[in-house]
Amino acid sequence: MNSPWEPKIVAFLCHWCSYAGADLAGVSRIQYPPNIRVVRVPCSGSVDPLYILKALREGADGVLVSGCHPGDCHYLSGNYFARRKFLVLHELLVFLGLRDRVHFSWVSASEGQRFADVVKAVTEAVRSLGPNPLREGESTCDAP
Amino acid sequence: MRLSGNGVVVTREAFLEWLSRGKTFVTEVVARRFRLPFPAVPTPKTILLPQREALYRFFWAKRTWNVHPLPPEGTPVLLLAAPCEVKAVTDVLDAVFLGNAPQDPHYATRRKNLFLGALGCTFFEATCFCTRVGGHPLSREGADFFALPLSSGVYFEGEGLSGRPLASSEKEELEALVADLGKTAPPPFPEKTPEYLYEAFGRDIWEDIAWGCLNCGACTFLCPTCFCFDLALEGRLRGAMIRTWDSCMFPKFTLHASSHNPRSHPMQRVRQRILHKFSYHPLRKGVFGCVGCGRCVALCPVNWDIREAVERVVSCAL
Amino acid sequence: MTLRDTARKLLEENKVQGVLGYRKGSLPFRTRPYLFRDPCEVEELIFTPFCGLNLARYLLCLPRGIERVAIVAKGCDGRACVALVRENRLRRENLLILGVPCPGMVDTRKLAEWEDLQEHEVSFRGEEIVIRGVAYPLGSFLDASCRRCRYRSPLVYDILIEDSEVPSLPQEDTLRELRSLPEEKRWEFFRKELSRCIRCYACRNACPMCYCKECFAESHKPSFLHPSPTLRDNFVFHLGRAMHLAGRCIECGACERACPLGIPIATMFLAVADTVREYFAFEAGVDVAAPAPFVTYREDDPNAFIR
Repeated sequence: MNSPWEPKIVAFLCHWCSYAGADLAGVSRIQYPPNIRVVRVPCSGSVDPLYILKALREGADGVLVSGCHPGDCHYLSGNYFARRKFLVLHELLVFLGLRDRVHFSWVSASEGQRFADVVKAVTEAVRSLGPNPLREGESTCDAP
Repeated sequence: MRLSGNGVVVTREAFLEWLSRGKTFVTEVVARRFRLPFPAVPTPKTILLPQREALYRFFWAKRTWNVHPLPPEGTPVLLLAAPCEVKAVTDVLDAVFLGNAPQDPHYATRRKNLFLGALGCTFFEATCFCTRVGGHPLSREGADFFALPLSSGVYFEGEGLSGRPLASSEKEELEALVADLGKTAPPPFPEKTPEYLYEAFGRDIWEDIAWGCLNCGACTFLCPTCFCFDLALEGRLRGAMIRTWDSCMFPKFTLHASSHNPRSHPMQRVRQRILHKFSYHPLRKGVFGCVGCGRCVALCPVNWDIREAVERVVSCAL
Repeated sequence: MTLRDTARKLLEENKVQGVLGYRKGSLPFRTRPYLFRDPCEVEELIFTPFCGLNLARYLLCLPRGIERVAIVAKGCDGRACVALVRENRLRRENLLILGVPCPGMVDTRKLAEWEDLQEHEVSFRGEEIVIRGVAYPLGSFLDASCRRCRYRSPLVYDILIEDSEVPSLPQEDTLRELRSLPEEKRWEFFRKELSRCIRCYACRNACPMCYCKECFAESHKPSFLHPSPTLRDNFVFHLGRAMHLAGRCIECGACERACPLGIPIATMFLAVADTVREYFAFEAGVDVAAPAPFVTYREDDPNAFIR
């Protein structure tokens, strides 16, 4: 049975804000696309860019990283450091021509509806790009 | 000279037409020297031992691991290579993968399907040193056929292509080429080089020789005789066992499961590479583990020259 | 005083126990790194437009017995020294930076067009390179990273060799062409180049700022990529390395020169260096005292890319 392609998006959500926001969306029965797979992390600042690259390597069509709003980080400054790292990664991916595969957001614990809106927007953005371009690729090592 | 002189001469067009009959590749060396309309591969190793190869697939189902070995595959392929690259296959790769039982089935299948031709060289590049390690630019040894472009056509030795006998002017051209190559050929390494290197293992000179080498894998990956590989699983509940090239230059190459690493220092790894190619392999198999193609010299980022390294150690011993 | 005289004097007076410099290679247009320890060896010290290798890479693996070392430093090598001191890998007092103004390094691949070219057939005349009697603008023969170099002369040095003959070519924006391509074409370009990579790690090993004892690429637990050179694994390696070099890359281009396949790998690291320069006003290896960009933050850091 061949179902049409659905994007798979890995979402790194910080425990204190974004994960709680997602939880609130759940208990409020707010509908949003089921394409995200959530990974709970303590803080957006603990998200190593290598996790994002690894997710893409394993075939994720898109990645979302979400944390507390600047100034509201549970660990005070984790999201400020994250913001700098993510800016560099974002610009690098844009430079490579891979804009819109990796998304970032600030979602607080009380923003259930907003979390759903973010997921909706990210899913649509990734869907319009098509499947992960790293999955198929020529390799120098394939025997001719 | 290893040419019998009993070959034939064919036109260039006939030669190209014959080559085009099946799936034909050339090596990059050949592609660089002659305009041939065939895709290029870096070395014969690229075909016989691809850098990435799945050996078996596995998946977890019904509470057990299901493992399915992948059948060896190979389609008939013709490869036109330089004589040193042919020697790399016959003297080193075949000895390693086919020389002991059990033979490597993947390599064996590809090798059986490979029709290997040697295209003679008419000059030595600055990086060539095949004659230092027992090779020759006009060697036919190990090849299924031999070809050499002359001014009036292509000289051909082997099965499958018929032509006319050599004219006397062409015989003279060949003889002049042989003489010219004889004059410019780099002289062989001293006879007891493998023994000298073996005995020099503990000397201080290695620190000095190895300094400068970046310990990257460029030389090993581009080398037509290097064959070391790594086996690494890809996937978790479902995936494959992948064989991939490994390099003795990498720090984890000899990392044991106990976490002991007998070659943790870059000097030890550089020494091992020289000894493997110029000492251990010749002592065990009677031929050098290097064919003198010179790629490592040409492409090393810091111009670390393996010829000089061998010379220095040997002159220390003499 | 010339470079050789200075180096010789430093060794004779035991101000340093070694001079890290360049020596003639075994092939035309190739040079190799060498640690000069004996004053009479200094005869072989050279500095030409074929000295692209970053010598600072060797500062962290000097042989025993070298307490203080002098390094022949182009602008980029000087930046590497400063960056390594700032990261506490080197003591400033054990380092003598022998600055040389750099004309830019020639991309030897561009010389492959002339068959069997010998060194004596190439000369330099101001802002021109003369090959077999024909003059060409030097700029078009330089490495990409040299064409956009901002610091041709080291900013921090102990001794600076004066040379008024060194041309000072204008800076080019070598990434402009790539940036102007539409996105699909840019990805096509990088997809093709990343697929070519055989993961020999020459780029990483030639880099003075990549000195980790265990590289993330060789980590088994956790494993970020598979040893085989597929597009997806090469992608992780190069982008991961670019992120690890963010704010640390000194833009020397040694990585690109080292690549045996001629992949323009430096473009990625230079683009990241541009991002850090533009948004965080930071350049690696320029100011020893400046705080690293990723251990500080500002409340008004760029935020527009975040939903």
